[in-house]
Amino acid sequence: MSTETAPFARSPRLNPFLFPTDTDFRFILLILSIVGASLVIYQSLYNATFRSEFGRLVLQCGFQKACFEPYEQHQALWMSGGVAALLALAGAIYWVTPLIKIRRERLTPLLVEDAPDLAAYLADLCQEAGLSRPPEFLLDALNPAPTGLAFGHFGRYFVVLSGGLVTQFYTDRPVFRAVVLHELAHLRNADVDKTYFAVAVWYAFVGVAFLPFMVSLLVELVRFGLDELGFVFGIAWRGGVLTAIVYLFRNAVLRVREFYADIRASVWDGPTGGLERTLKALSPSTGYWQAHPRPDERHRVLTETYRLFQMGFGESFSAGVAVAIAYENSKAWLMLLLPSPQENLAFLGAALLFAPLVVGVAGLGVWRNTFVALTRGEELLGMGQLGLGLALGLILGQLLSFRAALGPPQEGSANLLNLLFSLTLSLAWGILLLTGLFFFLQWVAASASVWVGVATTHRVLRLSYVLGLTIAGGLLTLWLGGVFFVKDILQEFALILWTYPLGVISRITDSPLTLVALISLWAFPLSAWFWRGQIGATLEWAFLDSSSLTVVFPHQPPLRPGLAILLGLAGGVLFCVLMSVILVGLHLGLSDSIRGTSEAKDIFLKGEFALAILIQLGIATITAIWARRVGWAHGLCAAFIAGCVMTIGALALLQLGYCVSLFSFGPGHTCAERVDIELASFFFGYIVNWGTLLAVPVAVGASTMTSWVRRLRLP
Amino acid sequence: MVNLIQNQLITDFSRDLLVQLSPQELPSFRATSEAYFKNPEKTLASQGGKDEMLGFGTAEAVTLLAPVILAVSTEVVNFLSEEVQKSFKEESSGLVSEMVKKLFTKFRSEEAEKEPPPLTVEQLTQVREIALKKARLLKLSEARAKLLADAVVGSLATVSK
Repeated sequence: MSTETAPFARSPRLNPFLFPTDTDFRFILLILSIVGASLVIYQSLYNATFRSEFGRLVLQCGFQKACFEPYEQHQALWMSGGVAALLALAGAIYWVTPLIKIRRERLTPLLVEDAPDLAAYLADLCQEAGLSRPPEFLLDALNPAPTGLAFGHFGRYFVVLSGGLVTQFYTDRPVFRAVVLHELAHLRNADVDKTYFAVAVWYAFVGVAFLPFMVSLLVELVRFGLDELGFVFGIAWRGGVLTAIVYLFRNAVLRVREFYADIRASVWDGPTGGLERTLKALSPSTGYWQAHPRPDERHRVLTETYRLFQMGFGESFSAGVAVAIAYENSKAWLMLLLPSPQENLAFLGAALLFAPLVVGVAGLGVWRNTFVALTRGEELLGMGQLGLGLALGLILGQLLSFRAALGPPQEGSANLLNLLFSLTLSLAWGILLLTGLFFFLQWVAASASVWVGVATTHRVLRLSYVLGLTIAGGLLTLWLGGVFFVKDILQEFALILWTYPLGVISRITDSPLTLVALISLWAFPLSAWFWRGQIGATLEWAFLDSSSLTVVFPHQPPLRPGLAILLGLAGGVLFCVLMSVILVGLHLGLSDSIRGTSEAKDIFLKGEFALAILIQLGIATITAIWARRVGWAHGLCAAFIAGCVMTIGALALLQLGYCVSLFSFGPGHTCAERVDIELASFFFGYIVNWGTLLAVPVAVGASTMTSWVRRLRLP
Repeated sequence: MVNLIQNQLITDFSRDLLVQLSPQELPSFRATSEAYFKNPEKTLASQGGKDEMLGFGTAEAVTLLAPVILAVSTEVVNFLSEEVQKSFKEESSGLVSEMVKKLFTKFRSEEAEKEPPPLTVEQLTQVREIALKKARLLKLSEARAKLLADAVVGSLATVSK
């Protein structure tokens, strides 16, 4: 990165509005975690209400699944109705909150006749802020603190000016302007709706879910005595923790929104405006329970906007907790809603709901971190922290979910061995989750670094992160759905994996989704090659304040998809040549009777597939070492190309063998036989999917080792 | 009705004082006076800044003079009403309010015989004391309290020497 010093009041500030803010997704997560918690509450309320019906069904047909289907679907509808009521109430609270606030705090409209000059100035500020519809200005005349406040609901927004602030219109115009611009920035950033709806959802949850639930628990306590005490305690402490999480999460998000409002206001206010002075004069009170960040922190972020791009452990951890709380409950609801044969789709359905949000928080965070690292010429670090935070959040969130309190009681100490076994499996599952998320975020970071490097305009950058995050969302949906499915059948899964590992891998490779996922892994980063002509373009568009500085991304080694394709083709041709030689050799070396047995055919087929996969792994390794940048993607591309050529070659040899017996392994074929589509897809599935899947760790390992060695060699 | 007339007098008197002492508060005066007449105690209670969602502004509160002026004006008008009442025991309250109004320079007409007699020096001293006491009670700084008390006295009609 090259930079020149320039006469500019502020050093150039990266534009944080280049990316959508992760706080939008965090708001949605916050709402969904509350909705998720209410789902389990309504399920529990249903069970308490219809306990006799449940008992009747048990007596009638034991625990046969089919017998309970109508009961479960009714339960799912009850839960849906509960959530609908909660959201309706939340909507009502959100809608009437501004009116209540105006009435309770005796806010009065600012009339033009009261202060024509002030009204005209405010109209100018709204125009400057580019608001399509200006807010209504209200007065909090008795408030001596010079403050502003934005609130309202969709279609009708208000900005309150305190009595103290109005006096500053005459005594300290720059501060007045800064405060009003900050509030207008909140409106422009659409913070009002998100904030007040999130709060409304929480109040609605307390009103129509949590309090009725607590009442029902007390009734249970009275009816069933101390037997229910443990259960009630489990729910009560989780309710307390959920309250704390929602409160802290909301405030954490609000604090970030303040930074964004400061920055947007600072652009309108200009470098000589009163915003920085106002920030310095803010109240120093702070804490996680506060909705505002520390003034010194605000001032620092205002001048060093790149800090706002950087995401850390805390953000990804809290996103993980919110997802886990909501995921488990939504999955249970979907399971009740879906008929028995499709029940397992609930895992994927719930993952489809939450994976995009995780990607919206953590994936977007990685893109932002990558962007900052590249523009500042720094090394991208901390991806492991993000992965760790997310995984730990997902694990802890499951314990905090109300569903955990509804789970079966732990078995006694007589089953200590079982308990140890189950703990070991849970640990293994946690490690699987952590490793998966670590590599997933590494993939997002590597892809982002390639694409950010070719982004010459905001449009290209937006296109690339939208595409990248969509693909990442798809990949994570499959991963999370699979991992949570495994968790629910952990003991059975361990047993199957132990006794029949190839069967498990085959189930994965057989899926067409696996093929799409494997192609996405390499195709997305390498497709940035088409924009290679843009490398070296300047980055004025990435900064907030126009300046004379010339900033470009640091030079990076080029992508070489051509090399990957060439090596893939070479590997494929090598396989075809070797197979031809082997076929001829076997034809000449072994008698028809030996080659005609099913065992020999089986061994030949497995050998053919093994050779194909081995060559793919070799090609992936060579390519990953050869390519100097994202070697693993080149390696996977080469393995995939090689796999495709090998499949075509293997099928062509098979067809050739039907006509020319020298190339036929088994005897008795005729030239009229044709390779059908089923056989072709069988070959493709084994060679390409298995080969590329196994090439993933090999290519990643080779690529990592090579970059490590290259780094060591650098002076 | 009497209250309405008296409140209007307090409002007009207070606005005049505000123009002299703190004109920057005029845009919010209408709202302040409305709030004051609805609930004087609440208006005079100091309001601290809250950590409101999406709120922004400096911590240091500005001293708002308007509520203090309204309170002082109320005390002064009440005193003047009592004084006028003593002199015109037989008159109706509506007329008393009108006469109190005429004690302010702003509302006096040229025809002196139609107007109530101006305040004596003793009465003016008493008005000043009342204004000063109330302003101090409402924690106004000594300098500003004196300024306010002087402005109050300055608004009243006096015996020309």
